[in-house]
Amino acid sequence: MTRTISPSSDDDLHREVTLLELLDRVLDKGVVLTGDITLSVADVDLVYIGLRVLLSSVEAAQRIGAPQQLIENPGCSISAH
Amino acid sequence: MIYVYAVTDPISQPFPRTTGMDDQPTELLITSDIGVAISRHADCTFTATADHVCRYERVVETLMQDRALLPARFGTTFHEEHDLHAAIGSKADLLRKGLDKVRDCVELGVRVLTNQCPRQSVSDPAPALPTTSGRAWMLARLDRERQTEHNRRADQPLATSLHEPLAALARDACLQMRSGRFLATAAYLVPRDKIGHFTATLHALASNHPQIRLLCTGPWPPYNFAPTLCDTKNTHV
Repeated sequence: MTRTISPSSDDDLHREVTLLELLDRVLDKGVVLTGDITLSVADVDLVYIGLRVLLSSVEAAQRIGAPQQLIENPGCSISAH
Repeated sequence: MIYVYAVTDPISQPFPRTTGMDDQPTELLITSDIGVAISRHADCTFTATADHVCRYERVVETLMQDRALLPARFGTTFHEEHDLHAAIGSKADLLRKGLDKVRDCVELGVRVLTNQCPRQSVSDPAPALPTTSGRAWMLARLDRERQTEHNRRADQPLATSLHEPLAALARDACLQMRSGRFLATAAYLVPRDKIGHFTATLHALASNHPQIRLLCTGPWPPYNFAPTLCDTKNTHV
């Protein structure tokens, strides 16, 4: 699975960010082969809620003193899981 | 029913043994000299849950390890194989060009967060608009939108200064201005052999701009760089 390129030690933050970035892509991007996309969703705006969770995660990371720069060090390997 | 994960090259190397939605095996369908990664189901109404989305993404990311692909929009289904053949056949040239564009590349996403907004809990609502009259509400709403647009324009030079050196390392790039805590989001189609250079540049940009934070994710399949083939009508079930 694509992993967030970030040195943060907060695995929960990683998972939330990765899932939100994933939702942002698969639900709204990608090639459309047909005029109709049948998309079964809950009554809740997933992306909106997702962004709020992302902001919460960023805020939570700040409260716990997460690194100032959420940037990967070069050379980090990304592996599928 | 056929569930579509991605369009890819009809190459001869073995198709990975993966399972997709409902643990159904995936297979490669070749049509009009285009490969289509699919799985077959009695019913293809899959709710966009975290589990389903991750299953879908797992298939796409497995395939992108060794071949060019264009991920399909989540929820792309066909009733019959001949419908899929017809859809691919009518767009084969565009799809081949799309595959050539993304070949040997991955997508990297960057979100720019500004540190300059006052700290505010995500659950805090925006200041309430006046409810004394509809006119007052509309005028206040218009004023808020103008302020948002003003802030976006003010942030544009910074976003551009961050975007341009990264875009120079990419085959293609797109930048979208945001508002509030998110200054901008961007996606970059980066050749695989330039990922290290890209992240080093990102690191340098972050060091030189202490007023912002950069969040980089990836590598992703090239969602943002798939060709636009037709107008979409989303059917929400």
